[in-house]
Amino acid sequence: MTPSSIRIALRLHPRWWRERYFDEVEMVSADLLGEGRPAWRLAAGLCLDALRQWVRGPILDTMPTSGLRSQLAGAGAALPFALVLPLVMYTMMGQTYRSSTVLQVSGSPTLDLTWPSPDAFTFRKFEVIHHGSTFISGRTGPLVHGSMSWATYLSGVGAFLISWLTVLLLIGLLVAWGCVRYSIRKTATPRRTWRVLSWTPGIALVFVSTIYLWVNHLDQQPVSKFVMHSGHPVVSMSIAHPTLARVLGDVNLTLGLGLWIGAAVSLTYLASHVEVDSRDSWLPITISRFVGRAMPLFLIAYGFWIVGLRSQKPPAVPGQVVVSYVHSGWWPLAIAALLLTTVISLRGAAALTTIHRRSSTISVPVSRD
Amino acid sequence: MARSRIGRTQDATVLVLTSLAEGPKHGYALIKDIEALTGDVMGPGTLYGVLVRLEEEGLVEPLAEEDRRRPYRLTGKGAVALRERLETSLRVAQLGLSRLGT
Repeated sequence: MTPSSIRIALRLHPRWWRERYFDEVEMVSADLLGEGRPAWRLAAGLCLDALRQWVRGPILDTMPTSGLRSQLAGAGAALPFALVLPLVMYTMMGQTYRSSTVLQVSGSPTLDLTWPSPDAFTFRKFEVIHHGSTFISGRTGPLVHGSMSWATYLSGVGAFLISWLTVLLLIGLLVAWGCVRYSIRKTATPRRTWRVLSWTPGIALVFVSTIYLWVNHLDQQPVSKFVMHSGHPVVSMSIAHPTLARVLGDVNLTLGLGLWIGAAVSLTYLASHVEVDSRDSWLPITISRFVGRAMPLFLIAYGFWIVGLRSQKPPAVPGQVVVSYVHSGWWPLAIAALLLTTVISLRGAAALTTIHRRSSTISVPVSRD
Repeated sequence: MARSRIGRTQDATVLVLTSLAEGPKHGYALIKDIEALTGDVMGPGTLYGVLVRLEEEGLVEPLAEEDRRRPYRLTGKGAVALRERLETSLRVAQLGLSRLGT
């Protein structure tokens, strides 16, 4: 009987691996334990291998072809979602930061602080907390390094990684989608319906992006007025059309998700009808493999970002200039969506890789012993 | 001599292929053969990570299972790949040794 630590490590492997190797590796582990090898060491090695197998994807003949093509379709359908998500994320993060860092308030230029601008590390827009009132300034200030909180650094590093990994993700998904389109074009008798359906991610993308940009434009139309707060005149800012912006935002969220699901269904249907020939698709395969292997980093980056956000403390001293990420209630949804997109992309990359392997195996004559 | 772990200093892929060049072996037999060959310990996690990759590349192939133990054997393609790899290593080793003046 193998120890539970080894059985747990074996169960951490993906299903295709367990179906093929579970009994075999359990037997080998039992033999090694019989020699007096420590169980914890065997279990640790198996845990590492489980991670490796999740990243690399299934091997030959471990999945039905329809399943592989469905994964490819899923990766293509995730494209619009992944394209829009970073925009939403950045809006939700805003350009206002909060921590106990020190800012030089005067004499600073106004910079574009969009990540991954290198200046985003050294300049921040700021809020000035003064006698219990908040004066919202549109200016930026240079950050005095050394006083920046670890939480702000951590979330900053996370946001920076997310930016670049998102670019990788988009490239991979775009190429995967291009692979589906190309395969349709190559088909001897392509149906018109296929062509129309293959554009559903594009339709979703245009819709979601347009509405998003509209909402963002509305958010950029501030109305300022002086109000009395705690006995002091302070500037109160709001957007010009709050109701319209909220309605549009909600419409974008619900219909955008609906369109994305529709695109996924459409491409899954296509995947069951269109043959993908990987010999013509070496570029998507190569890029998708790379993206698939970069995906765990995405989760780490998100971990940094969230831990940093949740660890930042509110200002404690009156008159203190504070810097922080502003985040809204959307972030759990965004995280969940990104996780979903990540998993789909990973599986899509694995599908492409496996299709490629099948093709290679068929095309290369192998002399058996 | 303290036993080292394969993966840091040894190429596990070459070791598995070299072991299978002798004939089909199942997982435990592979681990014991590699241990006898190098004195290094290979865990099942490392071994099956390598076997999965070699199998998908067509360099080894599984045979019929015998009592939950599945033997693997080297394919023709695997033999060619191993020979190329060893010949390259041999050239590098010979060149390195000659430069060291041994």
